[in-house]
Amino acid sequence: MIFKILKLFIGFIFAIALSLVLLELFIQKAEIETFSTTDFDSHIGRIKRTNMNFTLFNEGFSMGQYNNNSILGPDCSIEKKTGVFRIAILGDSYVESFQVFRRDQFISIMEKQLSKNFDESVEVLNFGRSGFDLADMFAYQQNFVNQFKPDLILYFLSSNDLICKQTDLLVPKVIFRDNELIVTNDLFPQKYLQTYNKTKLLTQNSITMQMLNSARKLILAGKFWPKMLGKFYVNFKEPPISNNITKQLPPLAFAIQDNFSSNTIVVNRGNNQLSKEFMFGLEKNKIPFVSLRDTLTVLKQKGIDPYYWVVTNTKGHWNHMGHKAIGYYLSEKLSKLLIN
Amino acid sequence: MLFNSFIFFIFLALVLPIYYITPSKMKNLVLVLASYVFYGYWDYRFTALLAISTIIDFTVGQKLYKCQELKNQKRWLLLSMFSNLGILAVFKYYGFFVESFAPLASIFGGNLDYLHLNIILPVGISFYTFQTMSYTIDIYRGRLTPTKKFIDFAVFVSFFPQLVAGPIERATNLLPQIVKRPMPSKSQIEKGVVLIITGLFKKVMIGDAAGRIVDNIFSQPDIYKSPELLAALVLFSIQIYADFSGYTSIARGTAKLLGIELMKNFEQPYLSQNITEFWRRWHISLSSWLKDYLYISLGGNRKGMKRTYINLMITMLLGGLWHGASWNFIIWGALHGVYLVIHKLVSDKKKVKYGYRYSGLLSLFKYLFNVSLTFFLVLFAWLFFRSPDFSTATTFIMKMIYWESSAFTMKFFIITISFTFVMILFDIFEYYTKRHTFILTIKNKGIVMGILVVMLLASCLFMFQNEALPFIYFQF
Repeated sequence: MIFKILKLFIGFIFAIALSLVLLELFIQKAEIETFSTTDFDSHIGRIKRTNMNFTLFNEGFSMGQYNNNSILGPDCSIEKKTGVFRIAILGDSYVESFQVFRRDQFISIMEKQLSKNFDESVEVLNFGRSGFDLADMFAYQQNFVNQFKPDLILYFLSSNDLICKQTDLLVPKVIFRDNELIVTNDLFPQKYLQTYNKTKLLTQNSITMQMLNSARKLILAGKFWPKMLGKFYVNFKEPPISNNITKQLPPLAFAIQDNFSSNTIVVNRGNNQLSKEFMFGLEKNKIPFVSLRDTLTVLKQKGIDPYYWVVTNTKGHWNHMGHKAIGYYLSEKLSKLLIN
Repeated sequence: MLFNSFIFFIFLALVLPIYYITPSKMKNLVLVLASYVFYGYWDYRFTALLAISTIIDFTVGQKLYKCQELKNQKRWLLLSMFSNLGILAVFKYYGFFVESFAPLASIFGGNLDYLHLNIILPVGISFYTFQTMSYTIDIYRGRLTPTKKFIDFAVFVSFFPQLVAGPIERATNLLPQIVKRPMPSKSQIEKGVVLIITGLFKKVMIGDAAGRIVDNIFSQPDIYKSPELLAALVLFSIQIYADFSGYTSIARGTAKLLGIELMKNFEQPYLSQNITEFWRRWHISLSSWLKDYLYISLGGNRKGMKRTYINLMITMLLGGLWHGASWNFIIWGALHGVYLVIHKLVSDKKKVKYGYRYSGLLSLFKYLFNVSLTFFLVLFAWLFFRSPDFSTATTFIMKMIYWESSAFTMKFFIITISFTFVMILFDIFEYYTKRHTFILTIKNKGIVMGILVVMLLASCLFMFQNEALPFIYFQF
C-alpha cells in the first residue's frame, strides 16, 4: 500500500516537473508570454533589460527588442556617429508604443521623413517608459539619456504628467535639497529593493513565474472577484468620485521646467491643454512647444479615432493611424523649427 | 456563458451537486433551469426564442406522430421547417439578403435602406435549430418516436453543454439518455475531467493564444509583410481547430459529468489524406447532418454522376451559408464543394482512404505528401473563411504573389511551428490510442494527475490575465 502511494506521489512530482519544463518551452517559443523586461541599475534605477526580444499583446500587438543599451529599437552606440543628428524622445507608454511594430511607430516615420528633409541622417531614440511622469522623465534624462548626447530632446507630456507623482519606487527621485533641484538615488526603499532583486531572478528566467507574478499584481489591483464572477460581480466598494482634483501644479514641475536643457522641445501628447502657468514658463524659458491635439482632432473629424482598437474593441493608446498622423505632423513641425 | 471563463466553472460546481442530489424525476427540470441560466447569462431575452422553438417542435413532433395521412404529416413537417428556418432567416440572414439585393434594387431605382434593421444574432441559433429540425424530420421519416414529456424535450433542445456550439446531436442518440436521467459512472467522471482540462488547454493556451496574432493581422493585412500574413493564416488553421475541438471536448466532458454521452465532433482532421476524409473528420456532427438531411434528401449519389456533383455543390454551398450570412462563407463552401467534386472525379469509384498504417518508407512519404496537399487546400479555403471581407482575402493573395520580406520571419516561423507541434502532438496521441482521453492510458495515475494539474494551472493563469475570447463557432 505504502509502495503504491509512493509510486503515485513520485509519478505526480515527476509529471509536474516535466510538464512545467515542457510548458515553459512551449510558452517561450510560441511567445505566449514574455519574460520580465525590467532590471535594476543602482544609478539609473528600474531599467529595461539589454538585448531582450519581446512580443506583447495589449490593445494591439507588437514585436520588438531592447537593444544593447536598454533602449527600444535596433542596436546603437552611446557615441554618436559623425554626421548623425540624434533626437531623444522621452515620454510614457504613448512613446513606448507597445501596441504597434516599430516600423509603424511615429518614431520610425519621423526618422525616415526627417532624414529625407535634411542632408544628414537622423536617428530617433525611443526613451519612452510606461507610467513615467515629468519628474521620472527628468531623472531618466539626467541619469541615462544625457550620456547619448542627443542634439534634441522631446518631452512628450500630458496634463496629468505635470503632477509629478513619482509613483515607481525604483526610479530615482527628483527633489529639492537646500533649495536646489537634484536627482537622488538615496530614496530607494531597501526592503522593496531586496525583494525585487530576489524575485527578478525568477521572473526574468521563468515564464510561469512571470505569469504568476502578473496574476499576483492583478489580484493586488482588486481584479480577482471581477474575473471570477464576470457579469455577476457587483462592486460595493466603488470609490467616490472626488471633485477635489488638484489643478495646482507642484513647484517641482516648474523647477524641472526651469532646468530643461536648451535643446528641449515640449510636446503636448494629451487631449487637454497643459496648464497656463506651465505654458507661460515654457515661453519664459524659450522652450519650443508643439501640440498634437489639433492633428488628432482633425483625424477624429475625418471619422478616424486614433485611440480606437478594432480587435479588442477598446480605446487606448494611439493606433496605427494615430502614429502615422503624428509621425508626419512632427516631422513637418520639427523640420520647420530646425530650419528656423 | 463561456466555457473559458471562471464563472462557468463556478456555475458547474453549483449545478453538478444539485443535479446529483435531486431525485431522479426532477433531474431534467434542474437541467432545463441550468441550461436557461447558462444561455440567459449572455442575453436573457433570447431564452424566449429558445422556448418558442422548443414548444413548436414538441407540438409538431406529437402531431406528426399521431397523424395518419401523409398529406397532414407533410403539413406539420412544413410548419416545423418554416418556423425553424424562419427564425434563422430573420435573425441570421435578413441583413445579408437586404445588403446583397440593395445594389440590384438601386439599378432599378429602388432603395432598400428602409429595410435595414439592426438584428442581434442569438448565440448558437444555427446549432439548436438544426438539432430540433432533425427531431421532426426523423419522426416524419419514421425513425423516431417522439418523447411524451415536454421537459425531456426541453432538455434535448437546451442541454447546456452543447447548446451554443454543438455537437449537433441527433434525437436518436441524446433523447433516450435524457429520458433515463442517468448518474455518471466512475469512468465517465474520470474521462469527463480529462476532456474538460485538455479541452480548456486547447482552447485557451493554443486557440486563444494563437488567435491574438491572427486577429491583429487579419484586421489590418495591409500593414503586415508576406511571411507574417502566411504565419497568420497557418495559425488560424490551428486556432479554429484548437478552439472548436477544445470547445467540443469541454462540452463532451461536461455532459459526461452529467452521465450523458455526446458524439465526437473531430477526429484529427489535419491528418486526412484527401478532402473526403477531411470532411469525415472535421465538424462530424454538421457534416453528417448535412449528408443525412440535405445531400441524401436531394438524391445523394442515386441519380447519376452529374446529379451527384450538383448535390455535393449545393450541400457544400449551403454548408458554407450555415456558418454565416456572408459571401466569404459561401466562397469557402464553394471551394470545398469543388474540392470534393474533383476528388470524386479523380478517385472514381475507389474506396476513400481512411487512416494510415505504416508499410515502408515510400508509403510514409506518400502519406505525408497527401496530408500536406490536403492541408494546403484546406488552408487556402480558410483564407476566405477568416477574411472579414473579400478585399482582405485579395490583399493576402497579392502579398503572397508579390512577396515582401520581414525582419520577423524567423520569429513568426518559430511561433507557428510551436503551436502546430503541440496541436499535432495531441492529434498523434489521439490517432494512435483512438481515444480523446489518451492521457488515461498512462497506468500511473500520479503522472496523469501531474500532467492535468500543470495544464489546468497554465490555462487558469492565461484566463486570469487575458479577456476571455468567445469560441469562434458561437457566432454561427
